[in-house]
Amino acid sequence: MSVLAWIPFYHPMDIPPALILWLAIPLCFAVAVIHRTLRVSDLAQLPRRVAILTAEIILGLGVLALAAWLVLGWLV
Amino acid sequence: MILAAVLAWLVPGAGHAFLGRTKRGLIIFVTIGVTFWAGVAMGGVMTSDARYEPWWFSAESLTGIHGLVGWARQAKVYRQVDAEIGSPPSTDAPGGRPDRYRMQVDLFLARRKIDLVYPVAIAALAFAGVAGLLNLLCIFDAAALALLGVHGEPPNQPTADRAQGDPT
Repeated sequence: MSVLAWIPFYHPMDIPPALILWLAIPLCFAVAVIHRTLRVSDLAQLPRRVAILTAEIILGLGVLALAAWLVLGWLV
Repeated sequence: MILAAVLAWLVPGAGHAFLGRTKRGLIIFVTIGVTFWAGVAMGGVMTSDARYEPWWFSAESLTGIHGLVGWARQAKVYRQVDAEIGSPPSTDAPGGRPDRYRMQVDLFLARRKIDLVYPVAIAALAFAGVAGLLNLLCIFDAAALALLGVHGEPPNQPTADRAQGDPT
């Protein structure tokens, strides 16, 4: 599809498959923002707590992915 | 409590703003809105698909006004589909296989280049669906705060918070 024919929010984007996995980072960030916005008592601490939770989620997903990869390698 | 929950569903963050937590409401409004519309930007108009993706659509509809706009946009597309190839048959093919009508719908969407396919579908549906589920969390929080009669920001606890951190 040519760029001129593409209408934002109407036509799907042409996202390379290799890029899809990286989109998990902003999604984790959104989850962290909402969770911490509801939980922190002092909003001044929000940026630091969001950064920590985002890192924790991404790290956790990475560990799970590694474990799944190892299990798969062991099975196959 | 019901008013806070309904407000929190209809406009993400409005439930918290209604309870005197305006800054939190604003953060929720922006985050849910950006997450949902990022999904729609990636997946296009068929990201909200009430006809063939009912579970994802249920999650997306939890974003309130955002989900309603998404639903109205895809409903317009399906009106065009129905006008061109007729209304869907009353029963689907057994075994959950795409029937002839479904294939015609897919062809219609593909011709207009608005069909949502792998791998973009994964990211688009995840963003829009997760936005709805996050708003569900906010709806529960607003309802719980209203039920407990809590209004406004929690009192500052500078010494305890900064020395030990929040128990969150």
